[in-house]
Amino acid sequence: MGKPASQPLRRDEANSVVAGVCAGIGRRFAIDPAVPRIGFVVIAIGTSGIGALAYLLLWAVIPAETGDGEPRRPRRRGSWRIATGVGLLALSIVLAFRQLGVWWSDALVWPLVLAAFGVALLWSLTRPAPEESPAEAATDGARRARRSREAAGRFSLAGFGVALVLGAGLLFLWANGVLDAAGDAALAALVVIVGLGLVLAPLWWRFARSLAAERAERIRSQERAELAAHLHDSVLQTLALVQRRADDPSDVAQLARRQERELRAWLAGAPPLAPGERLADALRAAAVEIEETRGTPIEVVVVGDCPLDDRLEAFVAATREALTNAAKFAADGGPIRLYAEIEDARVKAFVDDRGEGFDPDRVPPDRRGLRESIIGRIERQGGHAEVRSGPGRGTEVELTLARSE
Amino acid sequence: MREMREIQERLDLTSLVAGIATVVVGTLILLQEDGAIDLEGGWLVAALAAATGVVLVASGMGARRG
Repeated sequence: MGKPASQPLRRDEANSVVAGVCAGIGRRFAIDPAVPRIGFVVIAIGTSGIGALAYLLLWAVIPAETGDGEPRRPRRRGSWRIATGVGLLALSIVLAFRQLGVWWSDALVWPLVLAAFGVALLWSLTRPAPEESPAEAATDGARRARRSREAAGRFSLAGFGVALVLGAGLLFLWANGVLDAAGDAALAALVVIVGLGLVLAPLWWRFARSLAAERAERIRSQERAELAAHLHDSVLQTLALVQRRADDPSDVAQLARRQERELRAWLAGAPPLAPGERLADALRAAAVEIEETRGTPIEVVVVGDCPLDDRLEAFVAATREALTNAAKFAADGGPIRLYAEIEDARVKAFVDDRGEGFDPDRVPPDRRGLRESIIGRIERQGGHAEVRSGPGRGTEVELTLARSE
Repeated sequence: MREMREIQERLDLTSLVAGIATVVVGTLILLQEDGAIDLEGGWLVAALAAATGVVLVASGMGARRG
């Protein structure tokens, strides 16, 4: 039932109704959480609401534990405590003004305060949900549990916000005597509504949870269907092609490499390449193009990114030429490596191969690829190109170009 | 400099703020009981709400800071 009593006191957010204080107390002392919940409600009513502050304080000082070892969401951590704290500070200011006599009337201000809290609550629900953490994204169960909890929480908060706004309206009408005409009938109706609310609240809560769980299950089955479709369209098709071209190892290697690249991009959730707009994508696309046409594997590492302009297009063209040369003359030396750094002030690319190498001073004058398409192209844009090579040492081409202001 | 950083790392913001808030509210109640000040019920509720609010904000910010 509960955990041993030697466990430290923690809020149990996995079984919470508000913030998991009572659920945590129940688990710590191995009692039904309903007992501390009823205790808190009785104390809060008995002290005209002041006892509820004790709950908020416990919320603040007792650290949370989700119970199932599930990672907590980092981006909204503490948001509710901050929001409640700010609300209480605002309330204390309102109370201070009331004590000082800077006040219109109870009949106006308190309904306004209640309505403001309700509207703030509803408004907060319109914000988009934060992105899930990588740990959550990796764990299907964690994601489902979080979505289920989130949907139940949002549903309940929406109900509470609407109740606050409606309550504020009723309070305003009552305080201004509008409801006097209805008199006892209104009071009786209110008592019945409150009673029904108390009776139906657990059912409502369970309904909200089951609704959220059902929604999470639907999303899960959709995701499974999408995954199956993707596997069919990509991996299975590639495997079929591999079987058909089994007699051509270079073709098979190329297919496998293309599939690997696509699968990695899909797993990382990377958006499709935009080689006409972004420098990093243009460099990657150039590497893919040469890899596919020449059949030589190219390892690409690009750090940073920036929009593409005319000068950077020349930079990409020079890099492509360096990659083409490496694929043409050094394919036997293993994979070619492209490393690019895109910084605020400049861009830099290194194309490295482990081929036989050559003596740059002995390149015949009619071979214009290196001189014009790489070095000349970069220097015309005010950049710098350096070729380091020697027989038996492989080749490294370093391209540097300052970015436009 | 490093000592300051170590102190900052060891400091639990929520406990510090909760302690200060308790001392302030306790002092107010003590003065009230002693007759030095005359706090009406409304002032006490306002002080309690403000103290709880400050502790909650500190706790939330501490959690966000990690």
